[in-house]
Amino acid sequence: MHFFFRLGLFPRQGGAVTPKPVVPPLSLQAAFRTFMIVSLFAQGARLTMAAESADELLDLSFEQLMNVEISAASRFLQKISEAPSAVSVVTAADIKAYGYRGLAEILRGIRGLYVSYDRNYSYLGVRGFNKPGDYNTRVLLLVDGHRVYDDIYDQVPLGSDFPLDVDLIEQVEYISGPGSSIYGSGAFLGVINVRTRDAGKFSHVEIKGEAASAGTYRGRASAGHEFANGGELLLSASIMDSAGRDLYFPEFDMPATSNGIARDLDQDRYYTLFGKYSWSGWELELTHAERTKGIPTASYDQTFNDPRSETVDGRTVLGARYARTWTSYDVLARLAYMNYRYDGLYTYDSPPAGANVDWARGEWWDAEIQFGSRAFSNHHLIIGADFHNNTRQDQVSYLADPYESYVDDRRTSKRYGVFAQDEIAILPGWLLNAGLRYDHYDANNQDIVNPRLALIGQLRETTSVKLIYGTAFRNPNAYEFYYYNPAFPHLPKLQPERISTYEAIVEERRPDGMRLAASVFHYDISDVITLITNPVDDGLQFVNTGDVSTNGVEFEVEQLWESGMRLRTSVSWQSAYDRAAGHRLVGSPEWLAQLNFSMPVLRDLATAAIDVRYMDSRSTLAGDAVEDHTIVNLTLSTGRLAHGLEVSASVYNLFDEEYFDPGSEEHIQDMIRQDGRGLRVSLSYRF
Amino acid sequence: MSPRSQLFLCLISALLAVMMNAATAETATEEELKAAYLYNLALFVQWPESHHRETFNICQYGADALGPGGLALTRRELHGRPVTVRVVDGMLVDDCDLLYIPALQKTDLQELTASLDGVNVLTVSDVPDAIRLGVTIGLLEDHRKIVFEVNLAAARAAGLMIGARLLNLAVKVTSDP
Repeated sequence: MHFFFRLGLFPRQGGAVTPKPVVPPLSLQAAFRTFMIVSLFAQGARLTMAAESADELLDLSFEQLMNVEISAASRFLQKISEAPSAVSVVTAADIKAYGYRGLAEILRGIRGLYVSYDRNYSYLGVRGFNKPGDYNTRVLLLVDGHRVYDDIYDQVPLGSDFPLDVDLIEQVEYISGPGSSIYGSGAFLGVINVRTRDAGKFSHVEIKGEAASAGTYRGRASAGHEFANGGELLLSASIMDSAGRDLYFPEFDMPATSNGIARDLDQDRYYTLFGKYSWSGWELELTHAERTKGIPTASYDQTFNDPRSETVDGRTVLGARYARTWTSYDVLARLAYMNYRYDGLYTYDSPPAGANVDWARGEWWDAEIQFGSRAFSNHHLIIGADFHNNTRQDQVSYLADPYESYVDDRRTSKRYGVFAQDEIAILPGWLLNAGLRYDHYDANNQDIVNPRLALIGQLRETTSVKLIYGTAFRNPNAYEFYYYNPAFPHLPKLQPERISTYEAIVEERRPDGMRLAASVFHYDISDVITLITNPVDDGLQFVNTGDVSTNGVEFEVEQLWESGMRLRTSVSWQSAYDRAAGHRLVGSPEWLAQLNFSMPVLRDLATAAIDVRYMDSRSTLAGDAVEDHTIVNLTLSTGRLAHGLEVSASVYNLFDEEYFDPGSEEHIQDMIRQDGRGLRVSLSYRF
Repeated sequence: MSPRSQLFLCLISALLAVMMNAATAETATEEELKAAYLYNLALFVQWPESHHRETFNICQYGADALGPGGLALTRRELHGRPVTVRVVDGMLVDDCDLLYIPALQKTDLQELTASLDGVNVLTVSDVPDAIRLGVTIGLLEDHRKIVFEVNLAAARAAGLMIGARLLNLAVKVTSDP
């Protein structure tokens, strides 16, 4: 996703290749012994479990029974009101009702989150924190428990590079706040947990076709099957092709650069394949996707309006997961293999002329096990361990003709972590949630410990309060370590970014269908990893610089009516202060507001939904500011009409509001124009 | 092999052992959850005053689908009466307070509910679209949780009052006959 910027500053260099370790024969005896011992233990434990669980369930109140089971905040199924964080949930019904086209749009509807788009990648801002040029490295994205990112940039794909069709999403949970005490690096500001739909939702075959503004077409075919043994299979394939509009950039408004008009350059194409087989607690999944995006902005000083300029991002995820809950025990195990392919073609007229090929290949696997126990009264203990083996972390950048290598860095690395968390019922109605995690990174021989402490009180039947303290870290990624590094050995070694957070949340769930949530937080972020121009030799370099302090308040109201109407609205205020620079953090909005309202119309045959987002003005890198804006989207979607037909129509940016996102270091544009009004119509048919 | 990798391998095999045992285990999670639902649903429904019986009778139509959950129910009271749980067939449903029709029974729901006209029985079923077929409460599985729908017309026909709390928690309330 980058670049190479300021041609000629990189010295020629050889690749730093880490030799592959020799794998010794497995210690099978030890493994077998453990297998036998645990086997016996499990047999014994099983007999005593079944009888008591039914009784315990009967003791739950109806609300408790019904309460949304949350799968990620504390890893195991947990009710939202007891989750040691603020949790927001977007369901498949919301995705359909509001016409969300991708993960970025789903996240935009969640309180405290916003997304910037540079017409190539989408970047998530969390509680005021997302400087122009930052990748999505500070949130963790899980799809069915598997981390979706890459082992080079640690970038979470949120735009059209997200490898899953949104129609396959059952639920997105956003768990606010640091999750490093459970997940380790990456869960710095929050965790996005995506659950895919069950195969049962796609009985037989479903096809969908979509046409939208800017020459955009999308098609999907999905098929589900339930086997006699209870296993379920889901297969789905999607394809999207968007020609894109011609875009005008005043910075290039000269006859030599096509008067500032980038023609046919905003094109966006992807295909995704998804397969899932689940049976008796097992889940096998395969995701494969590739996205090709034209670059209309001439980023990294490219020639403006050159049709060759593009990036290709491809991902494959092959995962297996097993989860099971008994009365007193939970078990979760996960194994995944993933790879990531990035190919960037950056084009230049001026010397050194031609094309800069920038590519990266990542390949890794990770394994994870967890064990939860409620065997001791008043305790819910979870222990777990995970291991990541990055078997390929290659970054290459070169000038095609005449050939000149700029970066050729190939390596491998490993990391592992162990954690424990206990939820203790200290008093009636009060839970103390304490977690601790240790991580080791062999790339920089880093050992890190992160705690989290949350006190959760049920004040009344309907009101809960949560007081949370947590820390998190983000280890520098391969890109930050090595892309520029060899050129500047004199600089100090990069350290992890760190955050400590304090948050208080009050939630009220009234029996009349209203939910209120308010939250106050203070975040301290230190050693922020930033790309700077090094004054010594005028080259680019990542350094730990800058401390950021954020204070904020969020307020959310949700109301459900018996008639089926639904309202969710939130306002958040945050002040992210860059202490080194002595001013508000660049690109950070002070106010955000969201409103989502949907209601059944046409005698319950359809749902009409309105979605309004307000974002305050944000400062830009050049010291200017993009104006605040309000975007209104409307969607009308039907339920199943005759013959399994469903129809949906949306207008995005109804009032054609002109708005901008701040540009980054690699852009000449200080502000990048976003899409005006757009339409979309989709038809799906179920056989 | 380093001690660390050995430890890891042991952990993995321990887990494998737990899982293999689990795969053959008789688990009753869904049954228990459904039993808990029946209990909670019955708590918030009012039967007519004239309706007197020594015990609160929960009947399962055709087959036992509650397993250990049903056993747990028999240790409870509902509306001041000890709960009984049994399997019924055919027309022997007259002394049931709650009739649960499990989805695994290939029952003609419409015919069954029609035959119950005027009987003070709360019908609950997890057959898809149950409330359209005259059942008062339909249980649905929604991504590993259970939600329910209410048909007020069917409740009225059975002379039952559905509590406001239940109606608030239902994902869908209809009053279509």
